[in-house]
Amino acid sequence: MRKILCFFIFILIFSVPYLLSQPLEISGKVLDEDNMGMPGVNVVIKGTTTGTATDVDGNYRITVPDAESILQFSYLGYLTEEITVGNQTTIDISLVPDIARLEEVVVIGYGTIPKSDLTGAVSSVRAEDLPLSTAVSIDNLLQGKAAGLNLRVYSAQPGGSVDVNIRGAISPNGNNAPLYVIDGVPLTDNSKIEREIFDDDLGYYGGIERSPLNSINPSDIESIDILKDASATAIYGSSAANGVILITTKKGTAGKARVEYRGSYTIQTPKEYFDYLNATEFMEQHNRLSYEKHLFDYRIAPYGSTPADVFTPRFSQEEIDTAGEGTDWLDLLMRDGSIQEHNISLSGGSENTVVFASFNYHNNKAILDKSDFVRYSGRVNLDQKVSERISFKLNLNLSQINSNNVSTGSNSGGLEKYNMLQAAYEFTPTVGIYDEEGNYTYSYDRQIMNPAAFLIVKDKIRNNRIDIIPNLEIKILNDLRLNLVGGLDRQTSNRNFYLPVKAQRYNMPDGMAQLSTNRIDNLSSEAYLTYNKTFSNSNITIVAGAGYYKTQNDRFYLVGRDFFTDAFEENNVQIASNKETSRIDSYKSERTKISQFFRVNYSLMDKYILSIVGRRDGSSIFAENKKYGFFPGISGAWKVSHEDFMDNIPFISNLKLRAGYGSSGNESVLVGNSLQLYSAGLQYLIGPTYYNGVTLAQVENKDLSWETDYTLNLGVDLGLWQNRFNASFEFYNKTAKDLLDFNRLPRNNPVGRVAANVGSTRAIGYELTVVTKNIVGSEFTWSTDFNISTYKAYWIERNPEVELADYIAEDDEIRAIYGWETAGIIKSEEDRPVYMPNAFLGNVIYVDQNNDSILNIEDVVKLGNLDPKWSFGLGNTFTFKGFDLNIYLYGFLKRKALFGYAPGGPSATTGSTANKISIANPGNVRTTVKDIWSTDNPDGIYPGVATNPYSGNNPATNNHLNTAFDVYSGDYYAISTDFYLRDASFIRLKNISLGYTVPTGKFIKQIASARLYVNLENLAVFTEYEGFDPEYADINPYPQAMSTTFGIDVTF
Amino acid sequence: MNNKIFNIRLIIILVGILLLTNCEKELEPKFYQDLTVDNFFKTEGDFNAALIALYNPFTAHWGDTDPGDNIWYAALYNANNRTYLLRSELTTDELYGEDDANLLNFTWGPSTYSYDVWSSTYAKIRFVARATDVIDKISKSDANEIVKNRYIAQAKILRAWLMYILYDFFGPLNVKLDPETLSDTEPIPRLSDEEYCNAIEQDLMDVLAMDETELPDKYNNDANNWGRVSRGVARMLLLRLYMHTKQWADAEAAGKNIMNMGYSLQPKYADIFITKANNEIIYAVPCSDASPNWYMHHLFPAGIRVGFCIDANNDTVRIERGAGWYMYSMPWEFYDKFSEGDDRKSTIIAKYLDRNDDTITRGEDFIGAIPLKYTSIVGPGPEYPIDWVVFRYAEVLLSVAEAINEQRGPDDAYQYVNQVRARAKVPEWSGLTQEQFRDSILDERGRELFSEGVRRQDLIRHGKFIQYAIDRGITNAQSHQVLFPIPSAVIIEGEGIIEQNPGYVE
Repeated sequence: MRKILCFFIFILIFSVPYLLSQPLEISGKVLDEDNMGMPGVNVVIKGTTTGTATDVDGNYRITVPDAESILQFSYLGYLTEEITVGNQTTIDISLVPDIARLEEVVVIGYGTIPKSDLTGAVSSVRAEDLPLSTAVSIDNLLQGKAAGLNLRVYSAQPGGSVDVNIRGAISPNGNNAPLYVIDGVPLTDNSKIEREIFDDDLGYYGGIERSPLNSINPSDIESIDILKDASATAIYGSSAANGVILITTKKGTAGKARVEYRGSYTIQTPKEYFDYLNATEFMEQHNRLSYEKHLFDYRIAPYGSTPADVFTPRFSQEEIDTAGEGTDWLDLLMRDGSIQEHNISLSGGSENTVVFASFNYHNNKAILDKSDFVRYSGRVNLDQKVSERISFKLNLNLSQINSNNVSTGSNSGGLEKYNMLQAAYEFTPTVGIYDEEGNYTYSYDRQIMNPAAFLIVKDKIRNNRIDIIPNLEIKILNDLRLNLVGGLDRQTSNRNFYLPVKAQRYNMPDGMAQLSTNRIDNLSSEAYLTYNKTFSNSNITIVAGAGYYKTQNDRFYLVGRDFFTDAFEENNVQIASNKETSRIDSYKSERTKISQFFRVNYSLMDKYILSIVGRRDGSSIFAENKKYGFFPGISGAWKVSHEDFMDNIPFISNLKLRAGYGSSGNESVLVGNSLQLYSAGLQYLIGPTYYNGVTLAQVENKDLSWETDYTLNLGVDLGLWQNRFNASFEFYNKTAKDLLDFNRLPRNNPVGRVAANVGSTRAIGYELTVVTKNIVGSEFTWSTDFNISTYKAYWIERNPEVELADYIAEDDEIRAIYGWETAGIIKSEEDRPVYMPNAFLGNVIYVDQNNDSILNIEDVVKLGNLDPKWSFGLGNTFTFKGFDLNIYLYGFLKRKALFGYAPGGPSATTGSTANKISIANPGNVRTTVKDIWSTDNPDGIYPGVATNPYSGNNPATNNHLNTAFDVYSGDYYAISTDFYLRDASFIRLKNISLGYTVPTGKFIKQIASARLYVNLENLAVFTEYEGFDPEYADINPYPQAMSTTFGIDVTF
Repeated sequence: MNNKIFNIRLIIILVGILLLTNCEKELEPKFYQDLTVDNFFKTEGDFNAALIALYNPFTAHWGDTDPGDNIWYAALYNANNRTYLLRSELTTDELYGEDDANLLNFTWGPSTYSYDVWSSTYAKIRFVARATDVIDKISKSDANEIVKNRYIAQAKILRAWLMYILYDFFGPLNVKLDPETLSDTEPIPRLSDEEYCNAIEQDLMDVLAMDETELPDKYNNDANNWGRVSRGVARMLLLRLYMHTKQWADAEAAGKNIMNMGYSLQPKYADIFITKANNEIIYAVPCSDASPNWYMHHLFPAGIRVGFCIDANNDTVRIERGAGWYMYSMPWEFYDKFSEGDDRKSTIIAKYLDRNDDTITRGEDFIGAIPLKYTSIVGPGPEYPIDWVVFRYAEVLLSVAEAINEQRGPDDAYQYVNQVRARAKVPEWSGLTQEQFRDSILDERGRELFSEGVRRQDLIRHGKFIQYAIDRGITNAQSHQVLFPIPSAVIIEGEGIIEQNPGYVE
């Protein structure tokens, strides 16, 4: 805050001399394209709300503060003009009709195209359409912003990544993430740079799921264009099956230099998390259920006929009465967070040189204690005209991200490997943080590390990224241009980890240090020619070129174990005394791609447009017999509204029909999968030597190929009433063929799976985008952006090698869920179905679908689909004089999810909530435990302590074979019954922002515009889902915060 | 115009350069992490590396991610409740643990342990195929015969051992023993009981026919190779197989062969588990700091400071200790099977001092004794570099005694069992009927071999496994549960060719 204050004082002092300049009076006339006076044109002094409108003849009169003032002339359907007043007292101007939003230019890869000439399915998001947000990366801003773009936040950690797919994830085993292209350069390897913690002993390798786009400052972005169908994406060939997101950064504008400063301060407050038992409740519930367990263990009534004996509860009534609330571990780990952001940018230049430069500082103290995220990023985008024919562009982005991390998310083991959040869930509330000797306390199960001890674990990551994109443009002929584009993108990440001796980690009481580095290089060079020629009634654009791409990744890490002191932390690992358990590890991979590509666009009479694209890719990751792939696309459009017969329907300002078909590839599935390989890793100790074993790990498939997506896209664009109402409707049929499947080899084979191209999936969907200007007044405006999409992703052809269980239909949804239906629990003898004679009271009742009195595979049915049926986004913007208000929400409708993220939720094998609280080493559980059925809680709704003798006959348990990895839950959910399955539809009120543009021009001449704003983010989620936030994909996700931001945006 | 021509040349050159880079060499895949068939199975170092991977499932360390399907499986001799070792104990009267409620309550079904880590023991079937591959690849290599046989011998013993373990849990399986079928993708049916046991026997007979340079008797005095399987292990596996299948005469012969190999009982019971590679041990899983033993830490109650074991002289052995996880305990009913003065109780903690120096004896919070066995532990743990004993001479004596009793009554059998009893400082046996001897030796094996993973087999062989469960109150235990089910996933993939064990729902 202090920094901001200093800055303002500086500005104030600097501005004083300018406060005293002379006002001027200006008058003039505004003409239309036919040189007729235009009434009702808005004339405003730029950066202020001061303005007037032209009279019936098009005349106006206005007083401006000084000669530096800029007048803005705007009228709906016409291009806005800006004129600097200077010495003039009379300013006459002609406005040119704007083919309004139609003339927006869209980036389509190796070129741009006027939006009106688009033939494929492309969504464009302008920077100004993005919500004001505390998000660090752009992907977090796109939710609900483009139809067909499905995003889910993985976890609320600072800089957290987003699970993105375009038009449905239809690659069951491949990556479903789109290709990102930044300023024309494709990011072949867009994986996260943060190296995971070596987790053999710790378990919490997860938790750092950061977006690779964090290194790009969202304020630098000019536009985001999303290529959705293959007729558009084919130009990116084998890496484009999941769609392409093209990000274009800002460029400078010639003229007087403009400096913009944006600063904001955000307060983050934790939202409600899971409710866990307090100390009193913990004791009560343990006593209740351990007594019940005792009855069951010895088969005492109602579980059997053993005579009752004496049971002494662990906690006496006195202990319970004095226990109180105990320690709220989750609360202890949370704090109010804050975000400070400063962004300063410069734009300006001469006729030959323009530059855009920016610097960004983002500092987030997040709501889990000890988790911090700081970004510094700087950008210089330079455009230099070298000669009449040659120009040179250079985009340079540098960033550094420093973070302190806490462990959340999934882990790789049981409770012996719990991360901080899991420890906080289960640690007993009956003890404090420290014992009398000042050491951390233990829970009943001593394998769980004290949650507070996690706060002294050091885990720092420093990421650096440099991205240099030079672009040399040579105008060879008037119609022919050559572009040579390079790309050097290097990311490095260093992670320093130290688990202190003092943390008393159960399996590493003497501490552990880890140091790691990771580097990802994306190198590319491309050359392409563009030929553009306009004939009397037609226009042709041809692009043809070639590219060479190389991606390298190398990593190194070391683990040191057993430290006699915490004094050095990880800075002096050579003192680690246990050399046997210390480790070193390195990894390297590399791939190369060589491509040729072309596109032909032909427009006839500005009515009929044809586009043909194609790309041939050869890659080192392609299998021996499939070294090259060719991906073509064709599309066309008919601008119906340009036909003469449409002149009679004046309210239709735009009507266009589009159709396209093409193919593109998903190569993510290939890396290293096509060869027979022997791998190290299975070790054994012989004598004193811990030998490394080598075993066959993969069998060969020389014909292994990328997956190919074929997309048919049909679209209609409609504009009504001078495009005050704009709508686009898309239909698509996207079919993935040659799906990569890991053919599960018989278990008795030496290798468990082989990669092969078998099967086919499809997504059929509809998208609707509506953009309207509901009210356009001189003082009040209201506009709405709305998009909604739906799709169904299902199987077309299954793998013939895999025997499909009978309960699975050939064409079921990709993320269909199967299992037994349930009918509540057995609360009394009368409830016990005849076909479950061995069931105990408190067991779940399974439905015997075929009434054969045996619960088996024949009773498994389809329970639902994990994909949402509908996803939508809705934004409303209101302006009134200097105020602007934006309300933005999005949601998923009709989808299913399991109730219960936390451990102690449903589990087919062990760790059921009832078991966890009742055993000798009890762990804390959610308050829902109170609703567990027991003899003294006959109305309980959740299953009791008795294990169910029938659940082991349910073959849907843990069925990985036919349920693909679930991108919506982030895990193979052990969904085997519908008992815990819930409707997880939600609508999130993401943003409400209120801004006020200060009429500064009158007072401070130096400030061209200033805006103050308040932004409320993540206000509410409307859902019937009982668990934690239904959107989050991570397990034990980083808790949510509500953010309140105060900000200022000043331009000089 | 000249300018244009110049420019056109420029493009041709530039684009040409890019197109020319389109050569095969650039697109050669590069591997920095893995070996290929071209550079493996060449040297003795390669053979050893391939063999080490076959040893890996037996480790006492946690387990590993299998590179063949990228799933993590628990090792066979780790102390986790998913392992072969612990499931052989937790389902019996010798050990109680409540973490896996289905195991405890005999409510498992074909799907309970179907996937992932839960199918850890079943998943070892893959290593049988790997052993077949290794045997085949080594025998086809150019190395000298003695070197080849040295590794083939170990691979065959490991294959037989894995097959026996799978047989113990699941009955005969459809293991792959023919290298030609290793990459077939069609499911094959399970072998018959006879075929399967013959295959185990054949592997062991093959290696027993080799000479001493190819397969040494034992490695007890070879510190650099301690941990390799030997002729002693091969004979021990034969003994276990014959006992399992109640081929009493063969069992007696196999046991007596081992008696001629120079093994002997340690004078003091506790020493078996203290002295590394002592002369009683036929095989122990080697452990070190790098590959430690986690068993002991699973046992200690949270509050323990000093534990007490009572030896034959009624002296108490003090074991100073930090807190453990108290996952498993020996039910007091089982502890009471030991008579007063039984020296084997010197390895079981039945009383301890907690941190307040209060003495804790059997009762509410001390729900079972601590079958520590490895009494030399020092330090807070949790992991120990102490070898995990798997096969030892006392078992040979007890098995021979049992095999003799089954064939011709106890008279000839006393001399063997009494060696074991004498060492435990309990009265020697005499004058028992065949029936009494049979029941007594089951108890004796329980007392001698507790925590060594044989109780489940022993109870099944004596037909007591299910009855004992019912006696413990697990009234729903059913006779078919003497075998674990084939994972339901395997049955589904098996297209009707792979049959489920009888009694389980298909």
